[in-house]
Order: sequence, then structure tokens, then C-alpha cells
Amino acid sequence: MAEMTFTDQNFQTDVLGAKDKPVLVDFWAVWCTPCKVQGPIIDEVAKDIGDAAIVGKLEVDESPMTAQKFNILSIPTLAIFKNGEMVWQGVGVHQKQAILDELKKHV
Amino acid sequence: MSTNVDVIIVGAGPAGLVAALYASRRGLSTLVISQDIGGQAATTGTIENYPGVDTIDGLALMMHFKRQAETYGAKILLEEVTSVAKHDDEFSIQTHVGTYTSSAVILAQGLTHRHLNVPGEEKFIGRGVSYCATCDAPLFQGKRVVVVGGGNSAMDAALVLSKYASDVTIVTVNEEFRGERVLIDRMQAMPNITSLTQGTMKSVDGEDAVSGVTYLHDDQTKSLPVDGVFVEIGYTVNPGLMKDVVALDGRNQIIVDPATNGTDVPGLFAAGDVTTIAQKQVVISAGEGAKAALAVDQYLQRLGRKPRSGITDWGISAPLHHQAT
Repeated sequence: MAEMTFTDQNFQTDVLGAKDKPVLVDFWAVWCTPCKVQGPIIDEVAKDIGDAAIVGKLEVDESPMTAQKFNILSIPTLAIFKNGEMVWQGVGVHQKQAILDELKKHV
Repeated sequence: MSTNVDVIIVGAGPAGLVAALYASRRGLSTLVISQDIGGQAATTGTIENYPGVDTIDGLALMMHFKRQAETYGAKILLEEVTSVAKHDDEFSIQTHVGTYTSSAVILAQGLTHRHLNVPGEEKFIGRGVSYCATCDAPLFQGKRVVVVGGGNSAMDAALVLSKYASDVTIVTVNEEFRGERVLIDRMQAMPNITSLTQGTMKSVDGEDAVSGVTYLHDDQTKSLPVDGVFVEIGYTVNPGLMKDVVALDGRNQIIVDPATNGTDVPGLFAAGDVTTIAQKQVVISAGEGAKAALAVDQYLQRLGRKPRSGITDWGISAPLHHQAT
């Protein structure tokens, strides 16, 4: 599935409202250099996981309400949501296989 | 998954990527295994002292290194190495994904952020404890933070944070701040930065997220309510991978022969910030990576694994003296 861009506006519907599929969210910002390392890895995860999960990025500067709601205090932070609940959170750059392994636990 | 190659390079910072470039140009089958691309250099903003390049973003420079290494056949895997072992003349490198074997290894995994090693620090990583002020400062808008450290990077962090946080306290264990005068002056001119010397962190406190720190000052235990703790006390070698494998110095740096980058284990080489070479610079790590790769080539020739080509890598695609013969 094509990678999504999550925002304060669509987070409720597209992430919390997603039914039965895990949703991976990459919290990032343009000023954060490790996020630039993480970004392309997320693109590969989106390609590899296919339709089994929803994958997308949320820019914390453009969507501060969501970042605050989930108390995101370090970026990159990755989080997996399922049926409206955060089921996993990881801080710092994660490798592709580690992310895929986490996602598959919730497929 | 199992793969057997001539050389495995652990780490993809300047040393690892240049080692990969030189090894692959020598015709060695080369596998780079790293958690990330570019290491510390990739998270450095602008690099102004890499020769031949006026100014470049650290990540952009590292992507050039990566592409160049891959051009000559080096393969890069983004995996975390969990162990390095040697049986007879073969090395076995374990990651959380698989096992890879090789005739030689270059360790070039660089340095990691030094941690305070106080209670609460690990628990609150991502929940108030941060090692990257430029990444996380904007997330602390209107909040109170403490910066731990007394050098240039700590003062830089305090200055960046002062733009967002309501109150910044910078604490050093030393008697004074050690760094560029201009930074000290700039820091002391900021009304929302409070500096404290001879303070020792004891713990990071909180329930779900950081709510404060406890420190020792003038023989008294004090607490400071904060929402964020920025740890800026330099970089250190993470010895986990190398303990009991290779000889380390008192600071856990790999002891290398400066002429060959060899260690006390035949076939095991090391390059860059992880070694006893003192200067931690991109250009130096790049050169060390090249040296290590050429030493690996010689080592493999001595083992009889590779025909002795005798061709020096002049940096051009086909050596001229070779074409002439």
C-alpha cells in the first residue's frame, strides 16, 4: 500500500480509526538529521509489508497536537497503533528488519 | 541466512564506507553490516573541513561515500551485529537476522553517546531523556529542561534549547565550563539559562515521563523539577561487541597497529573512532578505512586466498601500466 502522510486532521480517522490492520507511524521533523536516516527505511518497510499494514509519516512541526497527545519527546519515534491503541513505541533509528518484525506481531 | 565473503566490515560511517570502497576496488567480496549509514558524521549538521568540499551536509557526504562504495560491488546490510567470533581462519558474524562468515573483518562501528549511568536514565529515553538537542529541542516548547555536560556540545545544546524551553539549567561536574569562550559568553548572556558547576547527577526521576532530576552539589542532595534531560557528555566506545574478542585499551578502544590497522587477532582489523587512533575526524577515519582495507588485501594474499595481483589502486578505473603489458 502506498505510504501515507498523517496529520492532526487525519490522524483520528486514518490511524486511530483503522480497523484490524496495524498502523506504523514515523514521527519526524525536517530539522532532525537522524530522521533523514530513518525516512528511507520506512519507505522500504512500506514496500515490503504490502497490504498487511498501513505505513505513514507524521511531521511533528506540522501536526503538533498529535505529537503532544502521545507525548513524543524524541524523534525519530516510531509507533504502531492497532484498533485505536498504541501497541508499540520505539525511539531512535530502527532497522528495516526490526520494524518488520514488530509490525508482523500485530498483523 | 548464511553468506560467505572475503571481508565483513562492521559499521558504515566514514571508516567503514571507505574501507568498503577500497576493499571492493581490490576485487574482494565485501559486505558492510551496520545499524545505520554515516554514523556520527550523518547526524552532524554541516561539515566544513572535508578536503575538496567547501561545505556539505553530513548526511549528504555520507550518502556520496555509500554510493561510491556500492558502485564497486560492496553490499550494505542494515542489521545490528550481535557477536563476532573466530574459528580457525574463519570469522563468524552474528546479527539478529542471520550469520555471515568471512576470511577477514574490519571493525569500524565508531562511538556512541556516553550515558550518565544513573537510575532512571534508560527508562526515560524518549520520555524526557534525550541525546540529540537539535532533534528534540523544539518538542520542549515552554518546558523546563536540564543539560548535563560542560563542553562545547553541552553549551550548544543549552543555546539551542533556550530558544524553545522556558528555563534551561546546564550542570557540569567540573569546576568550570570547558569550551570556546564565545559559547560561554553567549550562554551567560541568555536570561533563561542558569549554569551550575560541580554538580553530579544522581538520578532521573518521574512516573510515566521525566518530572525532575536529583543531583549532588556542595555535599547536599538537591532536586530540580524538569520535563527534559539532555545528556551531552561526549562519546564513548560501546565495548559489548568486542569484549573477550580483541584487545582494548583502558577506554575500551581497540588497540591497533598504526601501520596496518591490525589488532591482536590475525585477520581482525579496525579503523576509525573505535580505535586507539586519537583524532576523531571524518578525513582521518576515511584514511584509516582505506589503510585497513589494503591491509586486509595483503593479509588475504598471505593466506593464499587471492592471487597476488601486484596492482596498486591508483584511483583510476584501469591501471595504465597494467594495460600496457
